[in-house]
Amino acid sequence: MHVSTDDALRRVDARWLGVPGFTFPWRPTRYAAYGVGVPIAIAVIFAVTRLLGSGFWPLVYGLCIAIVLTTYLMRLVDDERPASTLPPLIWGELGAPRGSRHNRARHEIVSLTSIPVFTRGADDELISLYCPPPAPAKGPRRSVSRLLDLTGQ
Amino acid sequence: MRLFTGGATVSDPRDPRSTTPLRQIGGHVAMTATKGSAWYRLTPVPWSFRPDRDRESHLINQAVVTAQLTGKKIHIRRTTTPFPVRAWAEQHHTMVVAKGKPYGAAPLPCWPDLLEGEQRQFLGEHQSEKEVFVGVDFLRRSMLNEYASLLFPSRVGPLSRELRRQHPKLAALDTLMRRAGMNGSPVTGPQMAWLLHRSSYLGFPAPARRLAVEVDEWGTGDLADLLGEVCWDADPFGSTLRVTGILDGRAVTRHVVVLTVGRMQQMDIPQADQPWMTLADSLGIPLEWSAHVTPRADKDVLAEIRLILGKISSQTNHYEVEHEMDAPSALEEQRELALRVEQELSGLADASLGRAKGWWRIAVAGRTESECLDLSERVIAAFGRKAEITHTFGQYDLAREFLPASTVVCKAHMRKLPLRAVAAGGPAVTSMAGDRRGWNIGRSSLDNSPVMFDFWRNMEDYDVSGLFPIISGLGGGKTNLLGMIVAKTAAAGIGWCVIDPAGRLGRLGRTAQLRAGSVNIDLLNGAPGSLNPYALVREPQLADFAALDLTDMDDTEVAAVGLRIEDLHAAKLSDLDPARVDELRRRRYRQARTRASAIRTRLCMDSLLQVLPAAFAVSGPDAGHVATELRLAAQKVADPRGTFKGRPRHPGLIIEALRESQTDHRALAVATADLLTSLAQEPQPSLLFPAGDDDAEISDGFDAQLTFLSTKGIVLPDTDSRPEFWGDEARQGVAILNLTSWKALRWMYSLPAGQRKGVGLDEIQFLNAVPSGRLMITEFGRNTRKQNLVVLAAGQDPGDTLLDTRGGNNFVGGAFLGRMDDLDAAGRALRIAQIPTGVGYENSLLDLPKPTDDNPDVPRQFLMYNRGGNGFKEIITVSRAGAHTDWIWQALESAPGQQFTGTPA
Repeated sequence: MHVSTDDALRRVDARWLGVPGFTFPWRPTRYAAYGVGVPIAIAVIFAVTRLLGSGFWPLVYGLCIAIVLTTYLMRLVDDERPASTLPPLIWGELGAPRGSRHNRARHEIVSLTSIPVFTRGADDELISLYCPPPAPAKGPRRSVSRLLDLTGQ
Repeated sequence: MRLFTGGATVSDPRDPRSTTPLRQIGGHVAMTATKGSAWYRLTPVPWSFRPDRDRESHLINQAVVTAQLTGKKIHIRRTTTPFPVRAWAEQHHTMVVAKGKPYGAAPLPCWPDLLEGEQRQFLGEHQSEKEVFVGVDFLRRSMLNEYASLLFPSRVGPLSRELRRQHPKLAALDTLMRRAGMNGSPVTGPQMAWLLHRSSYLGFPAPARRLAVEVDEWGTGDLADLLGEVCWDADPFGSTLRVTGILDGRAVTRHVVVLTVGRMQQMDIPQADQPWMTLADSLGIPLEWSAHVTPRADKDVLAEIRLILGKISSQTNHYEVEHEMDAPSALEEQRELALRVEQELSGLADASLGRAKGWWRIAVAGRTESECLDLSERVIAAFGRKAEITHTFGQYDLAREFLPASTVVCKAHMRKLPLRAVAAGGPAVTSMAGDRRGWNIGRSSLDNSPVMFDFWRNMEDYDVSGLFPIISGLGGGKTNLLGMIVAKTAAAGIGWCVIDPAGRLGRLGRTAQLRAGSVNIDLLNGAPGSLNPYALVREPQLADFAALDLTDMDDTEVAAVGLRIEDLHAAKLSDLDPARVDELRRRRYRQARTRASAIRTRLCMDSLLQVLPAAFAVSGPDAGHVATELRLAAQKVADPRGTFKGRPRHPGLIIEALRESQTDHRALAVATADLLTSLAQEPQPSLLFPAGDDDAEISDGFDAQLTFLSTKGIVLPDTDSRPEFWGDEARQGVAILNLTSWKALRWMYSLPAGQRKGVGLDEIQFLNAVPSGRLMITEFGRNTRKQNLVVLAAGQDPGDTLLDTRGGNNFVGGAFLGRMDDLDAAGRALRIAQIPTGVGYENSLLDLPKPTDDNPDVPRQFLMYNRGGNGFKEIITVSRAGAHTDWIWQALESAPGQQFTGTPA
């Protein structure tokens, strides 16, 4: 059985060569790069003009910075990693729990202790197989404290 | 997206956050606040050396079932479990003791050490067996139910009622998942708890209790240990995730890398490639797989295809018309692919042609970050060019995908695949080698799982032969395999008689572990006549026929005992006329005596012909007459009322008979007799000729548990030369080897019929070339079931088709096929295992590892075939495993000429 994927279909790399009859002097650029580049250019030019004042050169500087930024960002973007996947990735990295010695709250506990498990009886009724222990009213749970103490964190 | 916070309230703000989306497990349904997914455990799928038609239909069936789940989210979780080594050891020891007890056979003093060593070996490796779970999102919970579960989280009432309402939907899903191809059964509560444990304690070794008891036998207290809590943390943009938890009272930390499956090359599965999810299984690294797959509706795929076609057309137009440039050639290829997909989905073809999208992740764990990264590199390398495996950022979010009821956060590297390609991943493809209850003989090469095999089960439980040919080319490791099996089973108190042409196997009898029960006999140092062919074939005894199997009788015998065929199934031996039954026994006894006499004549003739010079007896002008004269002389000797009446039979009588020949070729007969008389004075042929009638009977000397019959010093022919070109010394060597093998057959009768025993033969390719040698292999094949005998027959190219099982030949109960050196020999070997030839399977034998100058100790691999039970054909790896077997390998692997004096006690 011949097994192939449809990967090639995602690589249809739409590029804009320029307006009809006039080809841009730079290499064909993806439409997505223009989509990413335009908001970046607006933001950068706005910031530059606020800092350096309006005029021709601040505009040129802002445009150059925007092009560099867009080029760098578009290196991270391809058919496997569309631009839309970057924000959740960065957000996830920044929000991931860290192994901090000073702040326990940065740890994340994957806890299965509160999940009751029922099994099916002969008459299709659910019978309790595992009942979670009642949670303590206050203070950190002992098992977690013990775990972090044992690992020296 | 963060997962929902559930479980107990954490009141201290400094305390770690506790997150898990799951609320309850009801039967096989895992409920979160908003949805319910039904989980199923897939039955392991045998794969190796199955007909392509079967494997392909399995994949297509699975794709068809997946197509029925269009629009539903499917979570495939493949995890590993430890081999239940303690349960195995208990059962194994009990079985060994029970089987030997009736016959007074008990395990040797080295047995506890061996058994302990085997357990330690597998205790050290916590994960060795695959388990595949599939979860299907089938329920979207209503707001009312959601609140009910929040208000009464631990009460069964609302959940039970909710699930009862969904019963028809769930029952339909259960039926669908049970279909061929998927073979899924609803998970039990403990199995679900195990999956949760493996998903949260990511990369952890298994809890000690799991090594002893199957998870389904765990009680509530045990489940409380499974459903604990672990701490996950990761550095920003770090390459690994740390998982810390308490296991068996110890704090354990593991570093985990989550790899992502990227672009895949085209593959031919099963014809040329193995299922792509199994490509790294042979590494022996415990891998966790998670795949979130959604089968897509055809109309959605078609809409997307039309969009892509429009995009391609627009791009082509943009290049060629608007800018008068050549469009990239990739656009044309993409257009063709899009049209092909559109055609597949537009037609009324089968559902397996549908499409799916999904994300496939692999978790690799290590004790340290560097070990973890090193292992992940090995996994990436194992996939090679077939699938691009990437190590990306977002490790924490990727790891969360392994938890049941999780969602995909990192949407990069989404795969859009045909459903057949999804099925061709083969998550449930598993090695079926071994029967999980016998001796450890190696590991499966497919997934590195331990191969336990009880050789005697074929005869005891399945009425299948116990003849196991071990076939491989030079250096294939057959003697080591034979020796390892003999040593491990002998330690359990099983008796063996082993023929040892190279003098290596006999060293096992010199080890401290086996020395007490072993006897090494050097046959070449034996007295004249010690291999008297007449004495080697045992005279049948009437007592051998005490037991009669009614189902074994032919029509004549049935009539002889006064039964009708239609009454045969209900008849009992005790109901029959004792006189008639006794007559039947005597008849069989007479037949056996006649057969034994014929075998003796054949064996003696063959041996004498082999001993005579080839120029005289094979290639000479009178070779045919020599054979005829020998035949006539042998008949005269065999005649119970003839000239030699009352005298014990031995080849010396043949010489006398030849001298009395009255045929036209009397001169030739006398010359043959003179030649044999002269040869009887030479060292090796003298073993056939006793000094006189008084020395014709030979003593067995079979009173030890292990008998090694050494023929070290005989010259054997070149493997590649045909029998007619064998030199005189080689012909004599084959004759001695043949007679030695017959001696081993005689040994078989020295133990009670039901007692477990074994015979190890070597160099059977030469025996196969001699008629009496073939007869001997047939005799072994016929007797294995009756005698509860395992015969391990090692040799090189099997030559002709004596062992070929395709024609209904049931002499062979299994086989070990090692590396072969040429295509034809590989084809002949495959026929033993009923594997089709000419379709590429030969290469699997030609490609098995071979020792090289750089790596002389490369572990040898064998294709193991067994007919008993469900049967299997798998590649296994046989290698040194643990210090507890060092004594075996030291004995077997000491270099030729090296002094081996036995291992100390």
